[in-house]
Amino acid sequence: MLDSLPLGTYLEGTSFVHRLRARTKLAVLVWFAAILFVANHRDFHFGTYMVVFGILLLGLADSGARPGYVWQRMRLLVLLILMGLPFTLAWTPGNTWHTFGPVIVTYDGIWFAFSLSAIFLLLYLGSLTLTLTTSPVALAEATVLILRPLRRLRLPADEFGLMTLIALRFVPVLFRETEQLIRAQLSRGADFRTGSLNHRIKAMGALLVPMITGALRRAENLEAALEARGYGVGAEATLLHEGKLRAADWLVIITVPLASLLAYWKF
Amino acid sequence: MSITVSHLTHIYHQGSPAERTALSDMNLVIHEGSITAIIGVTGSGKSTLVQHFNGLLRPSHGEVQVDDISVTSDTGAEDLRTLRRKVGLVFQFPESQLFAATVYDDVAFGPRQLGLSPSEISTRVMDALRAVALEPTESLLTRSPFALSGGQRRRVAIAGTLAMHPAYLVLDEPSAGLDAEARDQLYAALTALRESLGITIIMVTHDMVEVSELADYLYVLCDGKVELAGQPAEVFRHAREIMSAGLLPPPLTEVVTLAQSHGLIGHVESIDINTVAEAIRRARQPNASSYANPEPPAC
Repeated sequence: MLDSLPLGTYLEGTSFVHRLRARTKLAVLVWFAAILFVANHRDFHFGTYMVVFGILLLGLADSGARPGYVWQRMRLLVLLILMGLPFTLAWTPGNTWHTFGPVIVTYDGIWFAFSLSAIFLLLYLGSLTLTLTTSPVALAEATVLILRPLRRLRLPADEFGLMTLIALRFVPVLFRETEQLIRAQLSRGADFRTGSLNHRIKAMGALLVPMITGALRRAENLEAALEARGYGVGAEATLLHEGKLRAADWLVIITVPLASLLAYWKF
Repeated sequence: MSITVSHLTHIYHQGSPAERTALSDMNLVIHEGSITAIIGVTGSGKSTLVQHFNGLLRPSHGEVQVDDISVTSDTGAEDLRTLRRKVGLVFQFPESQLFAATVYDDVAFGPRQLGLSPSEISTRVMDALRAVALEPTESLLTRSPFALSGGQRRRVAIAGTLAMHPAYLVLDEPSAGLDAEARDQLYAALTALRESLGITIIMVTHDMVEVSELADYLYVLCDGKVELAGQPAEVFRHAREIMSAGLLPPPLTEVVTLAQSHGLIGHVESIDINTVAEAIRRARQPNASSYANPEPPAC
């Protein structure tokens, strides 16, 4: 029942993408977000989108994730985007492309629908590649490293790292707990698949409330455990995974922005 | 009418690299009206087994027959839904599944999902709460389930399953995490339940002591197979097999086994406190016959 949820899970491996430093991958993802939003302002220039898509495809192919697996994680988002498309197309004002009865489809509408869907899909693919190829611990360290300069502004960078790590670590735990809960409620008569809408919403309540109280209880216990051990980030913590950048990282850091900038200017 | 398990095999993630056989060719019978305990260590397959009883899992091979419903690898969803009404399954720490704003609403959840009339629902809720020894006063019914004590919360959760009027009640580790008093209250409620409603109770546990007092019949599981079966007194005589299944026999059984292996006492008819006390008394008399002929160790 929960197999199609778009959750990031780490797949162990030794591919090129796996071996990149987590902060390189995180930086590339942030870069993609920035360049895609900038490219959004140049109507009907597809170059940037193509290049970003190409790079992500290369990365995914290299990571060794099966296409079926990737699709399984994507299909919910694809479905949502397809459902939104008609509305974006029909209700964006601008230069008319075609009229279908009362509905006017504009050039602006087409570009807006395309670029928005593309941004969503590409960024989702990017974060999927990141979580598939990066261990949670490395990802947390990368977060700390990237946020560290902001410590001067009294931003608690290391605490954010810890939060990231805990959040990622608890995904499978909550996942199992939810599965157990579904079974428990099924056993006492809950029916999530048949009956009226009202009926089903009530059944969902029986799932959501214990899920949230369960997660809060876990959070409270964890907090008490951290507190009891006097946990605190007093100084700069040493990092286990995120060593110096290597040749591969520099290669990615230089070529990826160059390629996408070139695509942005030329196409 | 009973639950009959024949040649039941369950394989998790069949065909994937994570394939694991949880149950292999298991056979057992649970008689109507009994309190049957299924005992085993973590990973022995006991939870997997009981999830077949109410159709949460389908067998990979073999068959589970509950009254007139047969569950095999290709039983349809409709049959499984009927089965879920017949067999109530109470998971470990059932209090974590409580969700409604009041005790009444929580217990009424199942009956409401069945689409019963309000008066029928109300009767079922009251009966279910009384059955688990909670007096359905106004103040209890309107209270939030989260405001109750741990033991009370657990009994409310069990009442939620009882309100479905199951013919069989399966409880997975019902006493885990309860203090002695709450545990005794729970056991008293379960025993009373069998007496008053004639419900067949199946308990899953790893604690021999608690089943020795409650159960009529035991199945000891080990690595997905039935290792020992029989009435408690019978099973406890096989202390060595129990220990080899990774479980601790009740302390009294351990004392007797130890005393016998040292030749201090002889054979005892049954392992209950009076018989054992008598055996020890006889053994202390200098010319007691049992002392002269110590029983040889079982293996």
